[in-house]
Amino acid sequence: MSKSRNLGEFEILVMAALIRLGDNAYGVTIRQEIENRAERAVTVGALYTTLARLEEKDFVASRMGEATPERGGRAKRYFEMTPKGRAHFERSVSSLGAMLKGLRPWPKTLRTSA
Amino acid sequence: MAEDASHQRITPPRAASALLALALRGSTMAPLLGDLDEEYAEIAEGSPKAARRWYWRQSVLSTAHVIAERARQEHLHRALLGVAAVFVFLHYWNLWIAPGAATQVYALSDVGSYGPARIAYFIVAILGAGAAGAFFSRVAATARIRLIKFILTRAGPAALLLFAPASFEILTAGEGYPVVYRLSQTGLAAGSFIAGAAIAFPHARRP
Repeated sequence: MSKSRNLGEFEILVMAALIRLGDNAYGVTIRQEIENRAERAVTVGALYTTLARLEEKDFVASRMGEATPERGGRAKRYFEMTPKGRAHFERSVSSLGAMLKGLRPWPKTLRTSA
Repeated sequence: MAEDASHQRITPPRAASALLALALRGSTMAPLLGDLDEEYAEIAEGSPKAARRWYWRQSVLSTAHVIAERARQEHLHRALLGVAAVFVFLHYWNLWIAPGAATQVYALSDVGSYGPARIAYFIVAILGAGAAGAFFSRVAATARIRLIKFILTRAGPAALLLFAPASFEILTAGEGYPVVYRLSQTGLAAGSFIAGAAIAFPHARRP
């Protein structure tokens, strides 16, 4: 049994957004991607603290981009997944998939309507 | 003039960004505030009022989130325990160890006293916890004897938790207790203080 911890739910959403966005993954696009696809409200504070945590674990790397007038002259910070991050992401998603496999149709306890 | 009005319309609420900037640090600040400005400008094209509401909501929730995350990382709850411990110790010092001088000091901690002297009492207590915490943490970090490490990092905090409720009972009815009992209680209070201070600054344990 591996000692490494699986990623949390929000961490998985962030990592998936990074894969989807490719070279254009920065704060605004990552936040909007999660809100649009996962239909989940995300604050920039929550996003950046999660990205900082992932970067600290060496799952994500970042680089500074260009500054634009509509950003008040502040530069963008682009994020991308590292090979180590990808390995953890794949393991976490596999674990989740294995647990969910064969569960459809959902048991009565998971249904929202009778 | 029209250009000025347009510029005004897309300027995010300064108070909200100042609030968030207070909580942010280092390399996160510029890109995060830039992201907020960029989205604010997009939303403001449709509805400036909605944009302001969105910006305030993002700033307040993000500030709370950043502070909570930092507290979790830096173990601020341990610092609070350390400060509580130093208060317990000071109360005991006032009551049992130096009762003569304590009359003056203890009066400062009275709820009814709100003068500069009481503020000084609080400052001394907090600084005392900090200084002692750093000192004992350093001792814990460099101690070669496992027992000392164990006391400072495990048994001490446990004693603090056990002793805290009892301390208030002794404070209110301490006059009738024998000297030996008072001294033993003072020892426990001192131990609690040391332990609480030691866990107040965990980063000081790093050599």
